Amino acid sequence: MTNKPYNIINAALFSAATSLNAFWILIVLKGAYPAISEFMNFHPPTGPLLGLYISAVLIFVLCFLAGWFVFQGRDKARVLLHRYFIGSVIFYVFITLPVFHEPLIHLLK
Amino acid sequence: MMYNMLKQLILGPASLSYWDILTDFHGFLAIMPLILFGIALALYFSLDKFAQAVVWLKRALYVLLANLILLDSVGLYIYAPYRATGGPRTFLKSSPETAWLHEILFEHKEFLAYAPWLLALVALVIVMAFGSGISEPENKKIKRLILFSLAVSLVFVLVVASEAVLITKVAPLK
Repeated sequence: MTNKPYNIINAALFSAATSLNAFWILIVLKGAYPAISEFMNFHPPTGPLLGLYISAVLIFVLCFLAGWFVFQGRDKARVLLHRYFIGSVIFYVFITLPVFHEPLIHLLK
Repeated sequence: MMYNMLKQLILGPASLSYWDILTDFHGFLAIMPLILFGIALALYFSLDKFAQAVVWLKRALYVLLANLILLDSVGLYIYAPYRATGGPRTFLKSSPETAWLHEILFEHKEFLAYAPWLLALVALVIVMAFGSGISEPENKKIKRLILFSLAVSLVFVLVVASEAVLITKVAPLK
C-alpha cells in the first residue's frame, strides 16, 4: 500500500474532527462574547447560524488542504487520527446539547 | 365527484405558500437520506460479496453527500422566516410551555445538523481512496470507519428529523 490513500484519509479525518470541534467552540464563543456573535451575524435574517456554518466549513477546507501536505508519508499518524475523529464525533453529540454547552458559556461570561 | 376531486388535487397544492412548498421540500430532503443510508449500508456489507459493490457504494455516497448538503442549505434558507418577528420562533418563545422546543430542541437540531454531511464525506473519501482495496484484510480497521461514519450520520439525521417533527407540530412555518 502506498502512502497516498492514507494521506488523503488522514487529512479527511483530521479536518472533519477539527471542523466539528471548531463548530462547538464557536457556539460557546458566540454565546459568551457578543462581538463574535455580531461578527457572525453578517446576514441578519439567519442570525449568527450562517456565519457559524460558513466558519466551520472554511476551517474544514483549510485543515483538509493543510493535512494533505502535513500527513504525506506519515502513516503512523492514522491511529491517533482515528481516535481523534471518533472521540470528536462522540463528544460533539453531547456538547451540542444546550445543557452541556450553556455552562461553558456562563463560565466565560 | 371525480371532477371535484381532480379540482381539489390541483387547487390544493396550488394554494400552498412559497414557504409551505420549501418546508415540504426540506422534509423530502430529510427522508431521502434514510433510503440512501439503507442503500449505502447494504452495499457496505456487500463489499466482499461482489466486485461492483464498491463502485455502487461510491455512487450512493455521492448522492447521499449531495442530498445532505442540499438539506442543510435549504434548512438555512428557511431558518430566516422561522426566526423572523412573528414567526414560529416568536410563537414558541412566547409561552414557558413551548419555549423549550426552541431553546433546547431547535438549538440542538440546528447544531447537530452540521455533522451528517461531514461524516458522509469522510466515508466517501475512504471509499474513493481505497477503491476495491477496501475489502483487503489489512484495511479492516479503516473499513470499519466507513460503517462508524455512516451509522453515526444516520443516527444524527434521525435525531434531527425527530426534533424537527416535534417543533413543526407545535409551530409550523407558513
